[in-house]
Amino acid sequence: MIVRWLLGLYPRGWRDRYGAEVSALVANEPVTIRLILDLFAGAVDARLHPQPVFRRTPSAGQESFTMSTIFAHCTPVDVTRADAWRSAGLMIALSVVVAGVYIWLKRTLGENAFLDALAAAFFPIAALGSSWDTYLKPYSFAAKVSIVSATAFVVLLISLLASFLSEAI
Amino acid sequence: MKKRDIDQELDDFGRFAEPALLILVSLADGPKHGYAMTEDIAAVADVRFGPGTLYGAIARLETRGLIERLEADDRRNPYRLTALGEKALRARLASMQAVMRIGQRRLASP
Repeated sequence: MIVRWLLGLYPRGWRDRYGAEVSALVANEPVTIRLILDLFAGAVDARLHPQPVFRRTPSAGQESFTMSTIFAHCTPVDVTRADAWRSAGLMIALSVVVAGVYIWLKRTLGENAFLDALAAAFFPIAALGSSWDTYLKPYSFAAKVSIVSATAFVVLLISLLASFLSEAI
Repeated sequence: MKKRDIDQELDDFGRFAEPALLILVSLADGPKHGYAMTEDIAAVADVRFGPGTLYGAIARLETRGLIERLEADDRRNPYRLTALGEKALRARLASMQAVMRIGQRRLASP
Protein backbone atom coordinates (compact mmCIF):
# COMPACT_ATOMS: atom_id res chain seq x y z
CA MET A 1 0.00 0.00 0.00
CA ILE A 2 2.67 2.50 1.05
CA VAL A 3 4.91 1.38 -1.83
CA ARG A 4 2.11 2.08 -4.30
CA TRP A 5 1.62 5.51 -2.72
CA LEU A 6 5.38 6.20 -2.95
CA LEU A 7 5.43 5.14 -6.61
CA GLY A 8 2.60 7.63 -7.16
CA LEU A 9 5.03 10.39 -6.18
CA TYR A 10 7.17 9.68 -9.26
CA PRO A 11 6.51 11.53 -12.53
CA ARG A 12 4.10 9.73 -14.83
CA GLY A 13 6.77 9.22 -17.51
CA TRP A 14 8.98 7.49 -14.93
CA ARG A 15 6.08 5.29 -13.80
CA ASP A 16 5.24 4.37 -17.39
CA ARG A 17 8.80 3.27 -17.99
CA TYR A 18 9.92 1.79 -14.68
CA GLY A 19 6.81 1.47 -12.50
CA ALA A 20 5.99 -2.17 -13.32
CA GLU A 21 9.65 -3.21 -12.93
CA VAL A 22 10.01 -1.53 -9.54
CA SER A 23 6.67 -2.97 -8.36
CA ALA A 24 7.88 -6.44 -9.32
CA LEU A 25 11.23 -5.77 -7.65
CA VAL A 26 9.77 -4.76 -4.29
CA ALA A 27 6.82 -7.19 -4.36
CA ASN A 28 8.61 -9.79 -2.24
CA GLU A 29 10.66 -7.39 -0.14
CA PRO A 30 9.71 -6.37 3.40
CA VAL A 31 8.69 -2.73 3.66
CA THR A 32 11.44 -1.17 5.75
CA ILE A 33 12.22 2.44 6.66
CA ARG A 34 15.26 2.18 4.37
CA LEU A 35 13.09 1.13 1.42
CA ILE A 36 10.59 3.93 2.09
CA LEU A 37 13.33 6.57 2.34
CA ASP A 38 15.04 5.24 -0.79
CA LEU A 39 11.84 5.34 -2.84
CA PHE A 40 10.99 8.81 -1.51
CA ALA A 41 14.49 10.14 -2.32
CA GLY A 42 14.21 8.55 -5.77
CA ALA A 43 10.87 10.31 -6.36
CA VAL A 44 12.36 13.68 -5.35
CA ASP A 45 15.32 13.07 -7.67
CA ALA A 46 13.07 12.00 -10.57
CA ARG A 47 11.07 15.22 -10.17
CA LEU A 48 14.06 17.52 -9.77
CA HIS A 49 16.23 15.85 -12.42
CA PRO A 50 13.87 14.26 -14.96
CA GLN A 51 15.98 12.27 -17.44
CA PRO A 52 15.07 12.60 -21.13
CA VAL A 53 14.61 8.81 -21.27
CA PHE A 54 11.44 9.06 -19.17
CA ARG A 55 10.36 12.62 -19.87
CA ARG A 56 7.00 12.68 -21.56
CA THR A 57 6.40 14.83 -24.61
CA PRO A 58 2.64 15.33 -24.59
CA SER A 59 1.01 15.90 -27.93
CA ALA A 60 -1.02 19.03 -28.55
CA GLY A 61 -4.11 19.16 -26.39
CA GLN A 62 -2.72 16.69 -23.85
CA GLU A 63 -0.71 19.29 -21.94
CA SER A 64 -1.71 19.54 -18.31
CA PHE A 65 -0.12 21.80 -15.73
CA THR A 66 0.54 19.29 -12.97
CA MET A 67 3.60 19.77 -10.76
CA SER A 68 5.48 17.13 -12.75
CA THR A 69 4.96 18.90 -16.09
CA ILE A 70 5.95 22.22 -14.56
CA PHE A 71 9.14 20.70 -13.09
CA ALA A 72 9.83 18.92 -16.39
CA HIS A 73 9.48 22.15 -18.33
CA CYS A 74 11.60 24.09 -15.85
CA THR A 75 14.52 21.66 -15.84
CA PRO A 76 17.33 22.17 -18.33
CA VAL A 77 17.95 19.21 -20.63
CA ASP A 78 21.34 17.69 -21.51
CA VAL A 79 23.28 20.32 -19.60
CA THR A 80 26.87 19.18 -19.13
CA ARG A 81 29.23 20.27 -16.39
CA ALA A 82 31.03 22.48 -18.94
CA ASP A 83 27.70 24.19 -19.77
CA ALA A 84 27.07 24.82 -16.06
CA TRP A 85 30.53 26.35 -15.60
CA ARG A 86 30.13 28.47 -18.75
CA SER A 87 26.76 29.65 -17.43
CA ALA A 88 28.31 30.60 -14.05
CA GLY A 89 31.09 32.48 -15.86
CA LEU A 90 28.58 34.29 -18.05
CA MET A 91 26.56 35.24 -14.97
CA ILE A 92 29.64 36.80 -13.33
CA ALA A 93 30.75 38.51 -16.56
CA LEU A 94 27.29 39.96 -17.22
CA SER A 95 27.01 41.14 -13.62
CA VAL A 96 30.34 42.96 -13.97
CA VAL A 97 29.26 44.50 -17.29
CA VAL A 98 25.86 45.72 -16.04
CA ALA A 99 27.48 47.04 -12.83
CA GLY A 100 29.94 48.96 -15.04
CA VAL A 101 27.10 50.34 -17.15
CA TYR A 102 25.27 51.39 -13.99
CA ILE A 103 28.34 53.17 -12.58
CA TRP A 104 28.95 54.93 -15.92
CA LEU A 105 25.30 56.05 -16.19
CA LYS A 106 25.28 57.25 -12.59
CA ARG A 107 28.44 59.31 -13.15
CA THR A 108 27.05 60.69 -16.37
CA LEU A 109 23.47 61.40 -15.31
CA GLY A 110 23.94 61.95 -11.56
CA GLU A 111 21.29 60.97 -8.98
CA ASN A 112 18.30 59.62 -10.82
CA ALA A 113 15.33 57.60 -9.47
CA PHE A 114 14.85 55.87 -12.82
CA LEU A 115 18.47 54.78 -12.83
CA ASP A 116 18.12 53.18 -9.39
CA ALA A 117 15.04 51.34 -10.66
CA LEU A 118 17.07 50.09 -13.63
CA ALA A 119 19.76 48.84 -11.24
CA ALA A 120 17.17 46.49 -9.75
CA ALA A 121 16.59 45.01 -13.21
CA PHE A 122 20.27 44.38 -13.91
CA PHE A 123 20.57 41.20 -11.81
CA PRO A 124 17.57 39.40 -13.39
CA ILE A 125 18.89 40.38 -16.82
CA ALA A 126 22.32 38.93 -15.99
CA ALA A 127 20.63 35.75 -14.70
CA LEU A 128 18.56 35.61 -17.89
CA GLY A 129 21.66 35.89 -20.07
CA SER A 130 23.43 33.18 -18.09
CA SER A 131 20.67 30.72 -19.00
CA TRP A 132 21.99 30.75 -22.59
CA ASP A 133 23.73 27.36 -22.22
CA THR A 134 21.36 25.85 -19.65
CA TYR A 135 17.61 26.52 -19.82
CA LEU A 136 17.83 27.94 -23.34
CA LYS A 137 20.24 25.28 -24.63
CA PRO A 138 17.68 23.36 -26.74
CA TYR A 139 16.61 26.51 -28.64
CA SER A 140 18.05 27.96 -31.85
CA PHE A 141 20.28 31.04 -31.77
CA ALA A 142 17.47 33.25 -33.10
CA ALA A 143 15.03 31.91 -30.49
CA LYS A 144 17.58 32.49 -27.70
CA VAL A 145 18.15 36.09 -28.82
CA SER A 146 14.39 36.67 -29.04
CA ILE A 147 13.66 35.16 -25.60
CA VAL A 148 16.53 36.99 -23.84
CA SER A 149 15.88 40.38 -25.46
CA ALA A 150 12.08 40.23 -25.11
CA THR A 151 12.25 39.16 -21.45
CA ALA A 152 14.94 41.75 -20.67
CA PHE A 153 12.73 44.40 -22.28
CA VAL A 154 9.75 43.36 -20.12
CA VAL A 155 11.90 43.34 -16.95
CA LEU A 156 13.24 46.84 -17.75
CA LEU A 157 9.73 48.06 -18.50
CA ILE A 158 8.43 46.77 -15.15
CA SER A 159 11.33 48.44 -13.30
CA LEU A 160 10.73 51.76 -15.05
CA LEU A 161 6.99 51.51 -14.41
CA ALA A 162 7.61 50.79 -10.71
CA SER A 163 9.93 53.79 -10.52
CA PHE A 164 7.40 56.02 -12.29
CA LEU A 165 4.61 54.92 -9.91
CA SER A 166 6.76 55.46 -6.82
CA GLU A 167 7.60 58.99 -8.06
CA ALA A 168 3.96 59.73 -8.84
CA ILE A 169 2.53 58.55 -5.51
CA MET B 1 34.38 10.68 -28.40
CA LYS B 2 37.82 11.08 -26.79
CA LYS B 3 39.11 8.49 -24.31
CA ARG B 4 39.18 11.10 -21.54
CA ASP B 5 35.54 12.08 -22.29
CA ILE B 6 34.51 8.43 -22.08
CA ASP B 7 36.35 8.08 -18.77
CA GLN B 8 34.42 11.11 -17.48
CA GLU B 9 31.01 9.76 -18.58
CA LEU B 10 30.10 8.89 -14.97
CA ASP B 11 31.46 12.10 -13.41
CA ASP B 12 28.19 13.99 -13.75
CA PHE B 13 26.16 11.29 -12.00
CA GLY B 14 26.65 12.77 -8.51
CA ARG B 15 25.46 10.34 -5.84
CA PHE B 16 24.48 7.90 -8.61
CA ALA B 17 28.09 7.51 -9.81
CA GLU B 18 28.84 4.46 -7.65
CA PRO B 19 25.54 2.65 -8.38
CA ALA B 20 26.01 3.42 -12.10
CA LEU B 21 29.53 1.98 -12.11
CA LEU B 22 28.37 -1.17 -10.30
CA ILE B 23 25.46 -1.56 -12.74
CA LEU B 24 27.91 -1.40 -15.66
CA VAL B 25 30.09 -4.02 -13.92
CA SER B 26 27.03 -6.19 -13.31
CA LEU B 27 25.96 -6.01 -16.97
CA ALA B 28 29.49 -6.72 -18.23
CA ASP B 29 28.83 -10.47 -18.35
CA GLY B 30 25.39 -10.24 -19.97
CA PRO B 31 21.92 -8.66 -19.76
CA LYS B 32 20.13 -8.57 -16.41
CA HIS B 33 16.88 -7.16 -15.03
CA GLY B 34 16.65 -5.04 -11.89
CA TYR B 35 16.36 -7.90 -9.40
CA ALA B 36 19.26 -9.84 -10.91
CA MET B 37 21.38 -6.67 -10.92
CA THR B 38 20.60 -6.01 -7.24
CA GLU B 39 21.56 -9.55 -6.26
CA ASP B 40 24.70 -9.53 -8.41
CA ILE B 41 25.88 -6.18 -7.04
CA ALA B 42 25.21 -7.39 -3.47
CA ALA B 43 27.35 -10.47 -4.15
CA VAL B 44 30.15 -8.59 -5.91
CA ALA B 45 30.38 -5.38 -3.87
CA ASP B 46 28.52 -6.24 -0.66
CA VAL B 47 26.14 -3.31 -1.15
CA ARG B 48 22.40 -3.52 -1.78
CA PHE B 49 20.83 -0.56 -3.57
CA GLY B 50 17.19 0.29 -3.04
CA PRO B 51 14.94 0.54 -6.12
CA GLY B 52 14.92 4.36 -6.00
CA THR B 53 18.71 4.48 -6.22
CA LEU B 54 18.96 1.61 -8.73
CA TYR B 55 16.46 3.09 -11.19
CA GLY B 56 17.82 6.63 -10.70
CA ALA B 57 21.16 5.27 -11.96
CA ILE B 58 19.53 3.16 -14.70
CA ALA B 59 17.66 6.21 -16.05
CA ARG B 60 20.90 8.19 -16.23
CA LEU B 61 22.78 5.33 -17.89
CA GLU B 62 19.98 4.86 -20.44
CA THR B 63 19.85 8.60 -21.15
CA ARG B 64 23.58 8.65 -21.94
CA GLY B 65 23.33 5.51 -24.09
CA LEU B 66 25.60 3.45 -21.83
CA ILE B 67 22.98 0.73 -21.34
CA GLU B 68 19.83 -0.16 -23.27
CA ARG B 69 16.58 -1.83 -22.38
CA LEU B 70 15.62 -5.12 -24.02
CA GLU B 71 12.13 -6.53 -24.63
CA ALA B 72 10.38 -7.56 -21.39
CA ASP B 73 10.18 -11.25 -20.55
CA ASP B 74 7.33 -10.52 -18.09
CA ARG B 75 7.02 -7.31 -16.08
CA ARG B 76 10.79 -7.16 -15.75
CA ASN B 77 12.85 -5.60 -18.54
CA PRO B 78 16.41 -6.80 -18.88
CA TYR B 79 19.13 -4.24 -19.65
CA ARG B 80 22.37 -4.70 -21.52
CA LEU B 81 25.61 -2.83 -21.90
CA THR B 82 25.98 -0.85 -25.15
CA ALA B 83 29.27 -0.51 -27.02
CA LEU B 84 29.64 2.99 -25.54
CA GLY B 85 28.88 1.62 -22.07
CA GLU B 86 31.56 -1.03 -22.48
CA LYS B 87 34.11 1.63 -23.52
CA ALA B 88 33.13 3.83 -20.56
CA LEU B 89 33.45 0.89 -18.16
CA ARG B 90 36.86 -0.12 -19.55
CA ALA B 91 38.11 3.48 -19.30
CA ARG B 92 36.85 3.90 -15.73
CA LEU B 93 38.30 0.57 -14.56
CA ALA B 94 41.66 1.43 -16.16
CA SER B 95 41.82 4.79 -14.38
CA MET B 96 40.79 3.15 -11.08
CA GLN B 97 43.50 0.54 -11.59
CA ALA B 98 46.11 3.26 -12.18
CA VAL B 99 45.07 5.05 -8.96
CA MET B 100 45.11 1.75 -7.07
CA ARG B 101 48.63 0.91 -8.29
CA ILE B 102 49.95 4.33 -7.25
CA GLY B 103 48.24 4.08 -3.84
CA GLN B 104 49.65 0.62 -3.18
CA ARG B 105 53.13 1.67 -4.29
CA ARG B 106 53.04 4.67 -1.95
CA LEU B 107 51.81 2.58 0.96
CA ALA B 108 54.56 0.05 0.34
CA SER B 109 57.32 2.68 0.23
CA PRO B 110 58.94 3.38 3.63
